Order: sequence, then structure tokens, then C-alpha cells
Amino acid sequence: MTSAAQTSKDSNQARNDQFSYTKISESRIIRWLLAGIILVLLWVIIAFFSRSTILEVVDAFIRLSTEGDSSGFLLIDHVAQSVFIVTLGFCVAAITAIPIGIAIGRYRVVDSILGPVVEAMRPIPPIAWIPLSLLIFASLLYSQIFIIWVGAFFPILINTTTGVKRTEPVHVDVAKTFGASESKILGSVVIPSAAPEVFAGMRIGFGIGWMCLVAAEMIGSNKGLGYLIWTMQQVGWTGAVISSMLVIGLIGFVVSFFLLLIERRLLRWRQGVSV
Amino acid sequence: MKYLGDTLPTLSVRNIVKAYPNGEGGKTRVLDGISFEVKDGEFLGLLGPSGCGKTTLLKIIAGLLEPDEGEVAIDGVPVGPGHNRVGFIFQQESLFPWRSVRENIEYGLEITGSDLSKRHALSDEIIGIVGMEGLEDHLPHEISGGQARRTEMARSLIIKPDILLADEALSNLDLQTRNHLQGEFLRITEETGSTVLFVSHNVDEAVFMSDRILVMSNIPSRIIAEYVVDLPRPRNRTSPESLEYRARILEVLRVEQEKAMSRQTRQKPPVAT
Ligand SMILES: Nc1ncnc2c1ncn2[C@@H]1O[C@H](COP(=O)(O)OP(=O)(O)O)[C@@H](O)[C@H]1O
Ligand SMILES: [Mg+2]
Repeated sequence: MTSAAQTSKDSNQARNDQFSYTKISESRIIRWLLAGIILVLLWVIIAFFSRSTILEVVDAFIRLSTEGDSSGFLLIDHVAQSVFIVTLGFCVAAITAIPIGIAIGRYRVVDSILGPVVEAMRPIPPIAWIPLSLLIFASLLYSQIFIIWVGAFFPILINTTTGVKRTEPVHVDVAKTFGASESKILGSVVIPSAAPEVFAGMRIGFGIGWMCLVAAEMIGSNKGLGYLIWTMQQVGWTGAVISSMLVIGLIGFVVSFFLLLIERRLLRWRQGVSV
Repeated sequence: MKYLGDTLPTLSVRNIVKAYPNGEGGKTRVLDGISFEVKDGEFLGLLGPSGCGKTTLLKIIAGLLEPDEGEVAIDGVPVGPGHNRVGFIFQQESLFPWRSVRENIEYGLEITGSDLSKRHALSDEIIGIVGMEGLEDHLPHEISGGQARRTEMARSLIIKPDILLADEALSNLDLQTRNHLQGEFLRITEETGSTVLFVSHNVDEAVFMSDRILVMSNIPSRIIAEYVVDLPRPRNRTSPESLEYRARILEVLRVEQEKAMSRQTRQKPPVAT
């Protein structure tokens, strides 16, 4: 890269950004409008087939929030339960997947041993583990954490591995010329340069973990949003089913957005991190 | 000419041999017995056609690669993998994109565990020397190629290495920036009292900068010529003396290239270049 080329590239970029700013904000409004229209259409179709109205959904939301379900749990109790468990399961997944992913990505021996194991386990959909996990774990909590772990583990692991493998060899060489030990190479070069992929993996992992929890709660649980949605279907209260669905979606979105914010903050050096 | 101590050489490279697997089960010998010395304070230029093993040689000196045969000694003491006695400016850009200019420059001090105040004092000093004041908090993608080179110089020199290895450090810059940075490179290494092994494939650059020049052959490569560039500094690129050195070195390289061509295409007549 020549310095002149670099400079002109930089200024081009700056100019492009400025130029496209006004254009984007215009086309963005149009895109949002279109998205809104499609959502409303979808809503109409769903409402038609499920024979419910927006009023019913709002009404169900308010009643679930204030009066609760037949066992007396308020909506917020279900939310707290699910969020608590998914956080636990997600943390266990991240704590196990990141180190193993680093080891697979960095050490060929580990890759040759664990790589095939990972490939063999991965095709089993996490949800298919639910019955087995209920058999294995006496406690419902452990079995649900296990399901979330199965769901979140692989995306985090695979992204971490990819990120670590993409570490620039020259960056490792720089560290070595300063006499850096392997642990310092890991901490100061490998992990920072893999961080964008690790974060992306965590976002995907969280989404899948959340999905798995909702499914797990539908089976053999007595609390949580998955349980709520399932029992509301049993009693035939469509409005409550839909409002629970919306809450589940909203939580997934908020957490993913929150993770993205942290990611953007930490990874300022890397342009173009997007969802 | 500046005084070059007649004590132990700062760097001595003895009979280095290195072969790489060639993908067909055999091995290609790249370095075929390279020996030379760099004296304290010397600016040694190393010229060679591309692919002749210059990067390989520097990596062996830096302890990033192990030679098949031979030995590298710094101040008379043999060194091996993991030593941190050299500064290395790599051929490709090598700043850590997630660290600011200052954090990049202080990297070596972090690894050796210097405390924060000492780190800042040393980085302030070297940032001044390389001329990166005001850009300390920029990220690598926000500075130009020439500024990146200055930052890499500072990062290598902050630990006061015994010798600075520069691998075609100025090759990827446009001509103007390159010429300017050649002068800057000399000033910076002079101000820091550095000993330099400067690899290049550009004869003009080597003559402008070096106290002495070694020329490498194609692979399996050896040192085929040595010139002491006995010209006052600052040098004039187009003075008759400079051009004379240039012509002599180019001639050696041309003859070497012809030999290589006739080795490659035994039957076919050599192509004029
Ligand atoms: N890791 C490697 N494995 C196999 N061959 C290599 C490797 N690195 C370099 N080579 C070969 O060794 C020769 C010298 O490479 P290099 O030291 O990069 O040359 P230079 O820096 O002079 O251009 C080249 O022919 C290159 O293809
Ligand atoms: Mg090279």
C-alpha cells in the first residue's frame, strides 16, 4: 500500500461517507416504510388465520402482566425465569467454547483430535437433545442449561476457531521478536485479533440458546416463557400466545442489540461490524 | 566515514543453510551457506533478487526460523529461537490494527513488563524522534502508509535492540514518500545510534543508505559481492560516484540474472530483458 494511495483512499472514503449520508437517510426512510408495511400485512394474515385481533393481544399482555396465569405467576416472573436460565447457559457455553475454540484454532494437534469430534456432534439439532437431557439430569434447571449449552456452544466454538485461524502470522512474528511467551502471544495477539469473530459467535450462540430454551421450557417445565406459551395454547387463549411470542422476540432482539453495542464499543478498530 | 568499532561484531552470521520442502517430497535449498558480519553502528545493505531468501535469512537471524545449518551470534553470543535482541520491520504492514499508534509503539515494553510511567516516557521520546506527534491516538487504519512505517520503526527501536532488521521496509511506498523516508530512516537510526541490516531489492536505495552492501545470488543463494560505499553523507543520489556504484552493482545482478535464466531454460535462448 503506497502512502499516496492510502491518503487518497482515506479521503475518498471520507467523501463517500459524507456524500452518501443524505442519500442513505432518504432511502433508509423508504426501506423502513416498506418493512413496516410488510410487517402490518403479515400481522393481518396472522390475525386472520388465528382469529385474534390486536386488541386481544394487548389485553392478554396486560392481564398476564397484572393478574398472571392460572398458577399465579406474572408475565415478569416468566421473563425473569427464562432470562436467568438463558444467561446461565450462555455463560457456561461461552466459558467452555472460547478456550476450546482457541485451542483448536491455534494448535494443530488439538484440531486434528477435536475437529472430527465437533463435526460429528454438530449435525444433531440441539432441540433433539431435550428428551435425553431430561433423562440424564435429575434437575430441570440442569437439563435446561445443558440444552442452551448445546445450542450456543457450537456457533461460539466454530467462530472462535475461525477467528483464531485468521490471525495474521506476521502479528505473531512481531510478538515473538519481542520475546513474547505463548501465553502473551495468546493474550496480546491471538485473542484481540479473533475478537470480532468471537463476538459474532456469541451473538449467534445467544440466539440459538434462546431458541433452545423456549423449546425446552415447553417440555416438562412449570415456569418460563416457553411454558407460558405452551399452556396458553392448551387453554386456547390465542391473544396470550401471541403476546408471549412477541415478548420472546423482543427479548432476543434486545439482548442481541446489547451484545452488538458492546461489540461496536470494543471493536472500534474494526470498521463495518454489522448484524 | 563514521567510526566503526573494531570490537566484536554486533551480528555475525556463520554459514547459514536453509531448505524448504518443495511440495514434491523433496527440498529446495534456499540459503546455501551465508556468512557475514555487521559491525557496531554499521548500516549494512543486503541486496538480492526477489525470492532469493532475504526474508528467510532475516527470520533466521531474528530467531523466528531455525536454520538447517550454521549459527547466528549477537555480540559474540549464539542466539536461537525466542531471543529478543533484534528489532524487526517486516516486509508487509504489521501494526496491530486494534492498538493505537502509541499502544503499538509501547507493545515491546508491555511484553518485557516495564511500568506505565517508564513506558510513556520512552514512547514520548521515540514518537518525537520518528515524527509521529499528534497522531498517538490514531488507529492504524487512520494513518498513511509512510506514517505506518514510522510507527513500526518506533515500535522496533523503543526496546533499544542490538540490531534493527529492516525487510524491504520502504518497498511498498510511492517514489516520493520512499525517497523522503530513506532520509528519515537514516536520521532516525543515526539519532538512536542503531546498527542496521537493511534488506532491499532496490540498488539505488542501497547505495544511498548503506555503509556497506552485500549482494546475494538467486537460490540456492550465497553472497556474491561486497561493496564498501565510501561516500560522504548526506549523499546525492545522482552524483557520478553514486551512479558508478549503482552501475557496478547492476552489472553484477545482470550477470547473475543471466546465469539464472540459462539454468532455467537450458535449451531455449535466453530472453533479453
Ligand atoms: N514457508 C515456506 N515454505 C516453502 N517455501 C518457502 C517458504 N517461505 C519461503 N519459501 C521460498 O523460499 C524462497 C525465498 O523466499 P523469501 O525468503 O521470502 O525470499 P525474498 O524475501 O528474498 O523475496 C522463495 O522461493 C519462496 O518461495
Ligand atoms: Mg522478502
